[in-house]
Amino acid sequence: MNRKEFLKRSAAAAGIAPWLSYGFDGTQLGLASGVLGAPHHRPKARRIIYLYMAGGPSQFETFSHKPEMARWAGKELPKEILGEQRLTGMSGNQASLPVAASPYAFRPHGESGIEISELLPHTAGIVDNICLVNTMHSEAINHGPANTFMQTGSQIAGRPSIGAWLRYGLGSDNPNLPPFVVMRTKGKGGQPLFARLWGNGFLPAEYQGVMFRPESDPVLYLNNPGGMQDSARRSMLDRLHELEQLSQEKIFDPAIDSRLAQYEMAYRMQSSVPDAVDLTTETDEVFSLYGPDSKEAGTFANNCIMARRLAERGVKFIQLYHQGWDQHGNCPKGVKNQCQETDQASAALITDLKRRGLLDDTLVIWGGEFGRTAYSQGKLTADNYGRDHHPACFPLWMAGGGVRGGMTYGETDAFGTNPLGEEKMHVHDFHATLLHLLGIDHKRLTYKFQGRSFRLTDVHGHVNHDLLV
Amino acid sequence: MTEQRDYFAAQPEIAKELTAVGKTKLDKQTTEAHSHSEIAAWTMVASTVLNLDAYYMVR
Repeated sequence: MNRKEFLKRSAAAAGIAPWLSYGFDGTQLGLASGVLGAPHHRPKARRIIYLYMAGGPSQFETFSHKPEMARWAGKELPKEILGEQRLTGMSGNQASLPVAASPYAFRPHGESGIEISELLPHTAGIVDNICLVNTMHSEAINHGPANTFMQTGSQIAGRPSIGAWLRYGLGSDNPNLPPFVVMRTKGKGGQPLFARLWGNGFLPAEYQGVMFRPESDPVLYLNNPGGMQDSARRSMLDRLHELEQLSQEKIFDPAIDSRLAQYEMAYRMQSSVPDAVDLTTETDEVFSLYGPDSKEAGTFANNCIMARRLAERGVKFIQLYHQGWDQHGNCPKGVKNQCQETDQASAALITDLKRRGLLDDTLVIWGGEFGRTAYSQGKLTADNYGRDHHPACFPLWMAGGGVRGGMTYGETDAFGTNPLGEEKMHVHDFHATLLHLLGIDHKRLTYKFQGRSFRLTDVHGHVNHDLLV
Repeated sequence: MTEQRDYFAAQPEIAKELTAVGKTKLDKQTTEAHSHSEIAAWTMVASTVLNLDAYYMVR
């Protein structure tokens, strides 16, 4: 009796679910606990929902209240403030770099008294749940490298993304859904998103994120064609396994296992995905909580409801992308629109997770790849200006999953341009902290590739204990 | 192949559905020479073989 036969028979004898009898072992079924077996320490968070604001949200109209800037409006940004900072070619050669002040009012909210812009009234309502980091900083100044850096810990393509590392380290909590799901808001333009942002890099292919689309067919090519019944698909996959088993005995290439694992995941997703994305069971109250857009498939609000449903089903890393935060021009109006599309649903997600008891072990993150300049890119008028990329400091907030609520971390100068003091959080520190919250020592989750061990944080990163409960 | 042949022979209507899928429409010559069940069975076998690692990887 070979191994597969043994598994099949013993599964039948033990009355185990039929899908357990297929495939080579649990690893191929996405059932594994991951390479770590058990976390390094007790995790605070079991899963992450990352609301990725692609394009680089401006800090000045959202989370950074800089009243001094109103007095400097239209005047040249002091040279000593800008210092040696790198500027992009888009505004670096401007003859003048005039200070652009935000026209939007800020006021303190909640018991914590954190100041939030009037463009984010709903986020203001959950402010006591969030940890607002004012001093995120990145090394990349353009979108491609900056997004790749945020998602993979390297500006250069080819490394595994955060979700892929989590799958590698921790495995999956639900064998019927991919542990890493990506959704993007429909109809948004701006800087492109690349599949490498949710890629597996050098890790096995089945660790990459699976994109759910807002169409009636959320995962492309998942459904059987007409005339292909479930039983026919099943027997086809069984025969495929048997044949691959024969070649595996000679070749032993993990790439074959990866492909089989993906066939099997796709097969299980044929029944699990329709249930996960079926919002007809959601109440009107839920839709009104997430806002007027939330019934329309593909909106950010709709994706937020979807994210909560996937979190309930044990998906470990749920990544929402909302593009369009790249306000080189028309910044006041542009940021306002972006906020309107995202504010209510982001806050609703926190409220909803909290009342379902999920916020304690779900880490929610809101943020982009960098911030924006204090000076105007292009012409500054009485009511209009643009802002260029600014990686030296930018806001990002986290909530739940072991992070302290109602706190701010780090301060920036009067022009929101330089971090003040020691409280700063580099992208590598952010990654180290995420992994820590999920029970992983970032220095001990490694994968050997091309002769050396790699980590999400490579040779960098410090866990930021100041943010933790 | 025997398994698929039996399967589609028992359900000719399913076989017709499957053979209607795809860009290439069956021509008269083919349908006169072979039953839909036979074509459907070969479709399944071909699909399995075409999905094998050995089919698309040079080793």
